[in-house]
Amino acid sequence: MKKELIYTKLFSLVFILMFIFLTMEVSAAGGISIYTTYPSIVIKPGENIETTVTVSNSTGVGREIELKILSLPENWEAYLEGGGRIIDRVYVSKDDTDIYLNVKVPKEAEEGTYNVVLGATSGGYSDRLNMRYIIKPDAENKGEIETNYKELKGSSSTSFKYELQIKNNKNDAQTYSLGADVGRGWQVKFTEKYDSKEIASIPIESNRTANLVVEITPPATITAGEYIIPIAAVSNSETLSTEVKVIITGTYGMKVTTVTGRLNAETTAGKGETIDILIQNTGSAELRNIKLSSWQPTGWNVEFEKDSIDAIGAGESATVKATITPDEKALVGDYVVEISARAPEVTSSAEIRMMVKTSTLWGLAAIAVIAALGFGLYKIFKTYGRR
Amino acid sequence: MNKSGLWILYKKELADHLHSKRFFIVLFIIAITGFSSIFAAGKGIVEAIGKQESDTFVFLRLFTASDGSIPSFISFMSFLGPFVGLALGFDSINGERNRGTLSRLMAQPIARDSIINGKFLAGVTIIALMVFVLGVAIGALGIIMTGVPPTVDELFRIFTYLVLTIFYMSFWLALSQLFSILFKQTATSALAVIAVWLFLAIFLGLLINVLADFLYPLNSTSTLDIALKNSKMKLYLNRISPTTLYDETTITLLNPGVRSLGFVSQEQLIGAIPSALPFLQSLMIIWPHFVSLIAINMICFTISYIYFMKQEIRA
Repeated sequence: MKKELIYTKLFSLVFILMFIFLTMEVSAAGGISIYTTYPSIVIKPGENIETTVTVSNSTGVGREIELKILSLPENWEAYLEGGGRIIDRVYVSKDDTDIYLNVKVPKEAEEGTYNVVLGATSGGYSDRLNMRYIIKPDAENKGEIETNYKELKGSSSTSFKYELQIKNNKNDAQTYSLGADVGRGWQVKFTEKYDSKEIASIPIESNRTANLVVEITPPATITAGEYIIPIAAVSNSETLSTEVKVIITGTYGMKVTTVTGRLNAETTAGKGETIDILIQNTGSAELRNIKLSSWQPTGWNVEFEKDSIDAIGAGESATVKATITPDEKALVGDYVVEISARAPEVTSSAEIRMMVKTSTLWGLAAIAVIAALGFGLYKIFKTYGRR
Repeated sequence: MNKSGLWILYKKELADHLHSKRFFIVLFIIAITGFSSIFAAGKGIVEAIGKQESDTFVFLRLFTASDGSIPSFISFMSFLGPFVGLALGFDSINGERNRGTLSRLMAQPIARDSIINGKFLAGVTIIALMVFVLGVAIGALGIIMTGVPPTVDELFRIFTYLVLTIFYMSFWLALSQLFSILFKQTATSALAVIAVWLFLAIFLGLLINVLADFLYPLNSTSTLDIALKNSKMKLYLNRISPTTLYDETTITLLNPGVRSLGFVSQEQLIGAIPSALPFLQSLMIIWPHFVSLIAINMICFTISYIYFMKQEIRA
């Protein structure tokens, strides 16, 4: 009897062992498993972590697998997500299926290592995943500032728009003052992405991102070249900075006018009038080899002090004296004279209204005639009067 | 002046004119024609305001515009100017002589030249009075009709035009006074003035045309040079007539767009902008004409003065 008992026990043991071995063998050869690529993550308090968990089935037949969060630190929250919904079962055919483990870390969580255990069972098969979360409050909680473009290119009349993302990684809300270090004449405007109001500072909740737009307008008289503009967001506890590059391409512009801005002048027929012609470079690149020419009525003469100008820098101007002489036979009244400046890249012209006046000489001569007649009349009065 | 009796004679002549029926007839004719022309022009302008591009110088156009049915104010003045001068002066000396009042006047202790001076000055005063009163009244009517006040430039132009009209009428006064000294009969002197008027206004132009066409015949083969000479001769000879001088001066003064009275070549127009001249420039263009009108006034008066002083009165 005793021997029988021992046999029975032995048999049971062998059977159990066999069963264990069998299961092990089954596990090794086929079964279910859950795993993730990064089972140990450094996080901060208050963070929400989503981890992709792969559920794998190698039993050869499709299985419905029950999922369960077996262990969770106190006050932590966790759920499983699949197809956008919270789930607790997943059907896995021969292929692997990805589900998502969402873990919400409480803000007051203390430093240390925490484990979250996820279990998967299906029939006789089971597996578990041990996720390790290491809380380091100081790790990586510096805010982030990012722009979508690093470099923009355009002419001096362009305003350059960069999208700016500021992320507050701190545990508390921060107010960031915004600024950019630009030279004189530059204009920098910060706005929210979908609002046109200009902002000087922006409050950002913890672990949130603000989407801003920074618009940079270069001075009108800027010369072509590359300009690096540092942008900073400063809060009480941190300074976030980045920089963008603005590449100004050269534009060519020229304007012809007079020094006084008056585009009319007066003169008498045949008498020259000197006008100071002002040639402005309104572009952002230097103009070279500028030639002056004119269109004038027949018989008129326009003479320039110098016919050409070697170079005018961007935003600068040059003055040339032009002497306009009307024809001797020009009528009284307004005539138009056109002064043109031509550079290889650009041309410009100004129409000057010349008013030709009558010479007062003949007017005076006529008055002399009247005076002579008056004198004659006086003489006659003297001769014949008082008889 | 008082001593020589000029002031007394001047006042007396003025009173005579103002009480004469002749003056009222002249004033009536001038006023009627003036007002009717302004009325017609004003109506046309009111309709045209805003429609035409020439909205500038609306006030001046009151004087120069015509609606077709009635001639413009300036052409009336040009036409009636000789009539006013003639009416006021054709019998100034020989009328007195025929009535026998001239020798009686000479018996008074007054200087002889005071008579002719006083008569001429009184005549000029009457003309000035008439022209200015009419000018201001018509201007006022124009403002009421069009609702457009004149600009300073326009005021200067109108004023100068009125002064010019006084000189023009004074010339005809001086001329008719000269004829009233030259001819014994009032009818003769009146006819003589009318003859001169008709000659200068109508026949001179015809004669000049004949002469110019004879010297520079115009036909299909004539060159541009000939045609130009022909036209220039006509233009310059026509300026002998004070009526032509007056008309050209008027047009230049009241139309700021006029830039030249001579011939304008195509070359001179290249680059020219059609624009209004300032008043002084318009006056400068026409200054020789203006001076000529004043000069013929003085010459005419001087001749009659000399004749009168040399004349034998006791007849």
